[in-house]
Amino acid sequence: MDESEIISRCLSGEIEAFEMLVTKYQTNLLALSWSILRNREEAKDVTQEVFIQSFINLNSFDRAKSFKNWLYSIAYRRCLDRKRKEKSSIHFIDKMRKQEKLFDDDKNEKKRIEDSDIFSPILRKLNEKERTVISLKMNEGYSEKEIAQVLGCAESTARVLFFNAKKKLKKMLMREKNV
Amino acid sequence: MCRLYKLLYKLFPVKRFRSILIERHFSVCPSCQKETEIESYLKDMLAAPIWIAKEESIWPLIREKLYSQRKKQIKAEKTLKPFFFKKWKWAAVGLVLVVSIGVVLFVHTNFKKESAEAEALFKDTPRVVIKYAEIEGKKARPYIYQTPEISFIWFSEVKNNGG
Repeated sequence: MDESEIISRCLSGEIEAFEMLVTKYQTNLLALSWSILRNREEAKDVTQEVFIQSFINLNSFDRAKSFKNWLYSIAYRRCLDRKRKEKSSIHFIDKMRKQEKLFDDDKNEKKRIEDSDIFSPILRKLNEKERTVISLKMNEGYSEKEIAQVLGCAESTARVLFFNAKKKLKKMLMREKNV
Repeated sequence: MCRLYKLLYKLFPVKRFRSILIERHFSVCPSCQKETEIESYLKDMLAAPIWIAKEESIWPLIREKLYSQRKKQIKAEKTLKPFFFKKWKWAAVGLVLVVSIGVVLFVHTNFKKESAEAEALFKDTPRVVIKYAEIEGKKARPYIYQTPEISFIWFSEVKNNGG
């Protein structure tokens, strides 16, 4: 079924039709959220929220534009919100950790490492925007124009962001590999 | 050296020639080899982890939430509906407002008219003024009720309360 047709059915209140869109974009959204948040559970939560929000606000979606990009832009904003909240609660959590020694438990620590990406600690050194740009460009093969649509910025900004992020990554990798 | 190859690669339009050129260069240039190596490492690093592809569909959760949200919405609408969502009720409210405003205006203008007429009549009628009254040698209090047509006047004794 055509995507536009599915959207029309959703707009007429048919919740079941939305399943096709969820199935189609779940992996992409999870990948993007994970690339920004680097946390499995949070990425799943955000993906869920994005789908629900998109269904509720479907009437505000401009049908002339790409639905995938629209979903990505919602996901990007949600992830940034999460990060912002996380930052503000870090101080509180640190206090809690000290008081209750939550992370003394080996099992907890193990799970935490499994959930985080031990494969690429370098990526953590990039900020959320840079991670998003890199992920969209390298995983999705997005053009600067599409990236700009997702981030809600100018095309030139997206280009500069990608260039800088890639440069940063290469530099870090070179340093790590002692090239 | 790398720049020269890049330039050649851009200048020559034949694809096969391009690939031969670049492959040969890659096989001998350590700097380009490192660069491609890093490029491929980057791609591996950025590739989505396996769990994402293996992740179960989140549709059941989304479906549940969407339905519960719809239920809430319907419930909220129902509670508001008896008054707010029927057009004829709005029309009725409007009509009542218009009628009541009309009545108020009518009463107000009529009242003004009547009082103006009465005032005009009183202006032409001579007024009765009693300066002093006595009943059996004692001071009396006069009462006057006057209309344009008729005047009633009566007196009563002033009671002494011992003050």
